[in-house]
Amino acid sequence: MNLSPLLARGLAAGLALALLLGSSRALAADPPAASASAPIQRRSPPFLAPLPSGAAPLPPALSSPPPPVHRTRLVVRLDPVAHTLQAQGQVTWTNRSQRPVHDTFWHLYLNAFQHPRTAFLRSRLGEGRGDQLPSTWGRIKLTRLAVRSPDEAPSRAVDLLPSLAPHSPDDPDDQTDLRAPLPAPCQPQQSLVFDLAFEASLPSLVERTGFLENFHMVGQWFPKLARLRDDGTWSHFPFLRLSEFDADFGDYDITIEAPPAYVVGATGVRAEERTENGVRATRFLQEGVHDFAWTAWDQFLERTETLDGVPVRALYPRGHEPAVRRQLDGLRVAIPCMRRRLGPYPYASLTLVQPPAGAGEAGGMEYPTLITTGGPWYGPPWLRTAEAVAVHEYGHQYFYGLLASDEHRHPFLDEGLNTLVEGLCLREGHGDGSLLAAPGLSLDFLEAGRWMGLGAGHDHAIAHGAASFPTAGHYGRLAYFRTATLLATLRGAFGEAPFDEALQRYAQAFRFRHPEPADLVAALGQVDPALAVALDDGLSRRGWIDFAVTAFQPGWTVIARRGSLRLPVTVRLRFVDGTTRDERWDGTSEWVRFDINEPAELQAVEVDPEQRILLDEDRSNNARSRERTRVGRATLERGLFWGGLLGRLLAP
Amino acid sequence: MSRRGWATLVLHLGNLLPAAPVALVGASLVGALWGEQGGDGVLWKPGGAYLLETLRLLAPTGGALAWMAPWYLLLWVVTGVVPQGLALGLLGARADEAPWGRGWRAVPALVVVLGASLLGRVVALALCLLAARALGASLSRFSDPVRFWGLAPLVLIALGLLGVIQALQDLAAAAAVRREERGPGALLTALEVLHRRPWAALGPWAWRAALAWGLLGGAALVGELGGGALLRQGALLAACWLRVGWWCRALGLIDGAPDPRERPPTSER
Ligand SMILES: [Zn+2]
Repeated sequence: MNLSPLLARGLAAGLALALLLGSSRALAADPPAASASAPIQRRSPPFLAPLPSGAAPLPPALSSPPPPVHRTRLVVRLDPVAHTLQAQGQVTWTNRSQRPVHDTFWHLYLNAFQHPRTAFLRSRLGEGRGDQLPSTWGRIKLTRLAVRSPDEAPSRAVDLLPSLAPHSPDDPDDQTDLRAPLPAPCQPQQSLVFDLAFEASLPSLVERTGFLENFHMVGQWFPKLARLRDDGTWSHFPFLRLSEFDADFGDYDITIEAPPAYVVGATGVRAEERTENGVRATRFLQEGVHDFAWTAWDQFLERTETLDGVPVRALYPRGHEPAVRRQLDGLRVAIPCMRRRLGPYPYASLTLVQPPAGAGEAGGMEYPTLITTGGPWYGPPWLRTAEAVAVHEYGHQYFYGLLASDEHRHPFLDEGLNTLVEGLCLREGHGDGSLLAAPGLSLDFLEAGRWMGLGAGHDHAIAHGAASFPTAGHYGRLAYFRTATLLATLRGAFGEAPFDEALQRYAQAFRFRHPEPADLVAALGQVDPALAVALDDGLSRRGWIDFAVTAFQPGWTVIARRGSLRLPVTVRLRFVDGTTRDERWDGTSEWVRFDINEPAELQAVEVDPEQRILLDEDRSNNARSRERTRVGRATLERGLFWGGLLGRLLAP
Repeated sequence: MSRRGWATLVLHLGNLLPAAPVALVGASLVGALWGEQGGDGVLWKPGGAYLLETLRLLAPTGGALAWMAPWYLLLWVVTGVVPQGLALGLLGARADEAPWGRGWRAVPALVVVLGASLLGRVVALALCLLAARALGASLSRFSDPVRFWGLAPLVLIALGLLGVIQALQDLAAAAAVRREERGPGALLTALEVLHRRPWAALGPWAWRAALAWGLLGGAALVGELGGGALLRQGALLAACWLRVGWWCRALGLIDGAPDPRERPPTSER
């Protein structure tokens, strides 16, 4: 999902101050002059604990989807006036775990919207999305759920409905997580066929799913089997406000029936279309995905483009061409960027849905091969929010789609990694102005995200399940931005190229798999064991860092590393004769002291002069100098100008 | 220096004076953060790392001071009548008269004129907002761009209304200074001038206002690309010069209007 409103709000507050604090224009960083030959003695306290070394080997990369866990075939009819669905079909499911299975778990997500006491709707988590009640309730009712072996006739199937029971612990009001015991254990590699039929009412748009007038965004709409882990346990949970999903890879064959005036977009490739008795049926096929979502509206305009070999179909409301053009521009950069960083996009279609005005809750969401964007029809060209939302949702085709981590237990694995790659690809497209590029002012997406990421780092660890965040704000700051800031820091500290290679190995090795946090730590830890330690500390133990110059004299200086993270950093020493020398400090000790035994004395010292440590909690203590400016003169001048401008506006 | 030059200077300084403490506090805070890293030149480095860090580190300070902002702005607006009165006094005093007294004496009337003007602006904006809501509702079946452009004329109307109110306020201020009228009388004189010679009143105001805002906006934008300080401060001074030019014109229009003593009794208070 996309949390850019959170970022935008923080940014807007900041920009007002920015105008006041303005200053002279860009100054390029001083390049280090020819290094002084001053002999520098270095002293630091002994290192406390040895770092672990060695990492688990990564699994071999899969070039195509593994054998499907399920084949889901459904025919669904949309009544666009009543906003209801009627569907029937089969799910052929195979036990790909190593244990016999005695029961099955089904997610009936639309029941999250059936009354105000569901686990989803009663949680009030503040800032963020989905905090309002629907004006029309939604629900889903199974009218048939029966199981048989694949060679048996449907008439011989065993009815599971009588034994189907809610399984949300201690929560009689929630019917989103149901258990259906099997009549007989299902052995490893054995297949079962579930015949099912259901009726559903869509809610008015709450979060991700529902309708607004004739616009229908249909997500989490069918009874969905939970994911069976390798060890034979099910990954199942009630539908919660902050929690997304976890599902097995399978093949989908879905036929959507709607009035011919309705334009239908969906996961997968359109394989067939026919109109009979005033109903148009469109069949969509997709292998190797773990969800299926679709949209139908009688007002959609359509635009198709092939971007880096990927056929993209954009569906959008009248008048939204400018926004969609910018979103496609975002994809034009992101698709090749992510191909290079994470491997090729393996599917034959990508559908982009821009919801109409008022249906923003449907926007900023990812499904396999289908993303929803959002935002106004037009925005200022210097702000990259339209591009960013498309890049973010496309990034989820990797972190969520192909690397199908458990979004319920480890939201940072998809949102955090995705936010990092979003920032890197926006940078590839727009350079320093990856978030904002106005005359004389550019803001970097990851630098702005750093602000959010530093906001909650001491309150709560990143590596929590979606249900354990105290507020939506904590979830957004930690799972998205602090994770991205931590990863960008490690990338800066241990080297961009090795980090990018390790991230690529992770993305390749866990494609069509369900990676866990330990897999990420192991994969990135191949760069440097110290990286693995820092990553683990930053994710699980609220690890933090603040480099500071704590003492400065003409002949010596002391740099402290506050916080628990041990990261290597550059210390730039500038001498009175104008020469400069960069010293690398591995950051394992608590402090380091540089003694200068040279006629040329220190003029200034700066730690992390290239701002690679994004997680550094206070950059204003990173430098000391013999010279000191007490009043920012450029700030003063600009303050007078903008104040004068305000005065002209306000005063008589 | 001519009286017009002095008036421009008074207006300009009166304009910068309330901005100065805010700017100085901001500049000192920035100096405290980056004073040992080469000063505030770092703020505009590409990518905005220092700028964002400044905002992040100063956000609590800004938040703590935010409660003062509306009161400070109100004070700023109200005390603005002093430089306005002094500048108008310089322009409107007779040759044999001391230059400051007339302006000082007009300050109470100017406060009344300002109050009326602010009220007028609030009413005008409220009317435009109501109209925008009604129009927006009636355009609801059209696409978003059509709705947007459909509402654009209302923005022009709102700007026009605010402009007329500003011109009226300046005319009333001129009457308060030149004829030493009290607030309501000055407002009536201004209305009468606008009624009799609308184009002679609005034309000279409008082109000067448009030029001034064009200069200020241009300096704000172009100043970011180079030559900033000179452009920006020059634009502020030029805007004051243009305003003073219009005030000279307004004083002339007031002189051309009938004397209040000759007004028919019905228009008397
Ligand atoms: Zn997301």
